[in-house]
Amino acid sequence: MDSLRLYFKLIRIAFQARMQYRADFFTGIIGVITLNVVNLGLIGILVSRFNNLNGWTLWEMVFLYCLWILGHSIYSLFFWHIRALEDYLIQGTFDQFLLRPANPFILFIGREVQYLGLADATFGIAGFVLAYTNLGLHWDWVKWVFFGLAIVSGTLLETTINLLVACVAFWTGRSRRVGGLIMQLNSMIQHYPMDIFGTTFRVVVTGLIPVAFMNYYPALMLLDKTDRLGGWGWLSYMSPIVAILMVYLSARLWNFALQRYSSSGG
Amino acid sequence: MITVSHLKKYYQRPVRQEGFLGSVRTLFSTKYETTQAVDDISFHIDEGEVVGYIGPNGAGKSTSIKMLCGILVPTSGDIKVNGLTPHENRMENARQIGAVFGQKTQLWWDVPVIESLRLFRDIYKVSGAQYKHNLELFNDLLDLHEFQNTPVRQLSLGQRMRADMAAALLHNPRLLFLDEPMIGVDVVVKERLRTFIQQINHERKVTVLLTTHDMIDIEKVCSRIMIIDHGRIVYDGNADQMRNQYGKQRTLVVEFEEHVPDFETPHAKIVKSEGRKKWFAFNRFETSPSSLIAHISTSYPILDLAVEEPEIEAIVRTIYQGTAEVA
Repeated sequence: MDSLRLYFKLIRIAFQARMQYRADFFTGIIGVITLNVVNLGLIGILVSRFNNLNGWTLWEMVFLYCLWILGHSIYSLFFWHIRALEDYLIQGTFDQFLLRPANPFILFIGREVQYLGLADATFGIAGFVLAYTNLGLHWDWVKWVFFGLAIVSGTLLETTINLLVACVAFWTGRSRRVGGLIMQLNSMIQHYPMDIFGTTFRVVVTGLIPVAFMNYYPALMLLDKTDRLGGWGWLSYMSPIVAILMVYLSARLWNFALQRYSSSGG
Repeated sequence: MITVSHLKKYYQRPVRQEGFLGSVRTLFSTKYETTQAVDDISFHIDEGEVVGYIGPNGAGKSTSIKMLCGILVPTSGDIKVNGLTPHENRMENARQIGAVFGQKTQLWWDVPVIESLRLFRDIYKVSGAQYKHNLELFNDLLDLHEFQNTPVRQLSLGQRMRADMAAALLHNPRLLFLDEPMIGVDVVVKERLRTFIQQINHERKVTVLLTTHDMIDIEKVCSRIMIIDHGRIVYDGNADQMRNQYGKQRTLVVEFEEHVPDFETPHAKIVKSEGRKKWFAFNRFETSPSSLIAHISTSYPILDLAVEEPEIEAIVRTIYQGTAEVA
C-alpha cells in the first residue's frame, strides 16, 4: 500500500513536469489523434474495396483496433518510459533508484508519464462507442467485465513485453533494436485480424511474443467469433491468464537483473 | 560508524563487440576482462569524522561509495555501516545515509525544488516537525528559499548543488557521502558548502565522507585524508601527518639585494629565478633552513627570506605518481 501511495505521488510530479511544456503537450495530443485517424482510414479503404477482410467487417476491424488502442493507451500513459531504461543504465542514473528506502521498480516506473496516452484513450473510447453502436452489440455483464479485463490485460502484456526486452540492457547495455523488432509485430497485430496471416506468424504472436492476446483473442470472444478458432476457441478467454504469467516472468527477470546490476555495476 | 575490512570489488565485463550482431555475440560471449576497481581496502571511520577521500579518476572512489550505499555488492570483504551490511540491508541502510553525487542531480529536473523535497519527505517518512525544522535550517545556511520554487533545470550549478545537499540531509542521516559535490561550483558557493558541511558535522555529529579533487576542501573541512589509487589505500592520516611523512621538500625563497648569478649550494638546488629572487629546494632531513641561509648569506647579501611548505596538492601528486618515498 505504501508503494501504491508513493507511486501516485511520483506520478503527480511526473505530470507536473510534463505540463511545463504546454505547446509540446497540445501538439502531441493532436499528432496522436491524427495518426490514429489515418491508420483507421487506411483500414477503411482496404475493407471498402473488398467489403470485408477474411470475414471481418469494417466495424469489427474498428473494434479490434480500438480494443488494442485502449490497452495501449494505459501502457503509453504510465509505462512508456520502460524503453528508456537503457538510458538510465548507460548514463548511470539508475543508481538513484537503489539509493532510496523504497522499491526500485516503483521509483523507476513513477519517474515519468507520457501524456500521449490521453489522446490514445480519447480516440479509443470514441472508436469503441461507434463500433459498439454500428455492430448493434448488446453485452451482458459478463462481457463488460471481460472487456475491462481484456483492456487491463492488453496494458499488462505490452508493459511486460517491453520490460522483458528492456531488461536485456542490463546485460548488453542496449536493447532498443530488439524492442523495435517486437514493436513491428505489435503494429501488425493492432491493424489487422491475425487470421489473415500465415501459421508461423500466428504461432509467434501467440506463443512466443503474445501480442495477439492484446486484442485479437479477446475480440473473438467479445464479438462471438470464437468458432473461427475451431478447437482452439478457449484461447479467446486466456488474455488475463497470459497477462498474469507475463507479469510473473518479467518480475522474475527484473529481480534477477537487479541482482546482476549490483554485482557487476551495470 | 563505518568499518571496512579487506573489501574487494572486481568487475567482470564481457569484451564488447561492435554492431548489432556484435552485441548479440557479446550476450553469449564467454570472453571477460577483469578490472580490480577496489583491491583489498580496510579502514575504520568513527562517528563525527570528516574524511576526505581522494584519488585520481578511476581509482575506485565511486565504487567504494556505491558499496557503502548498498548499490553494489562487494566481490569479497566486509562492510559495516552503523552496524548494517549495506548490500544486505539496502533499504534500512538508505535511511541512515545521505548521498550527493556532484555529476548527477537527485532532484526532479522539471519541477520546482520544493516538490522534490516534499517527495523525499514522503519516501523517507520524515515527520512534519522535522521537515519544517530542516527547511528552516536550510534556508538559514543555504538560502534555499531564494530558489525553492524554481524548476531544477533553471538553477545555476551552485544553486543546484545547494538543493541537492538539502535533499540529502532532509531525513537526518547519520552519514553523508559526498561524491565530488564541489565540481564546477564557483569559489563563493564552495566556501558556503564547506561551512555548511562543517556546521552539519558539528551540530548533528554527521559523519562525512567527501570525495574531491580540490585540496582546499581537504585542508578546510577534513580531519582525515584517505588516498586511494588503483583500488588500494595508499595513505590514511591527517593533513599535517601527510606533510611530515611525504613533504620532505621545502623551498627557501631568497630575495637578494642585487642581481646574482646562479650558484651551487650544498644540499639545495635553485629551481626558479625571477628578478632578484631565487627559489632553493632542499630536503629538510638533509639540511636546515638556518644552515642554508647562513651558507648563502656568506656569499651574497640577503634582503628578504621565506620558507615555503609544500602544497598539499603537490604532495598528493607525488603520491599518485607513486614517486613518494616514505621519509
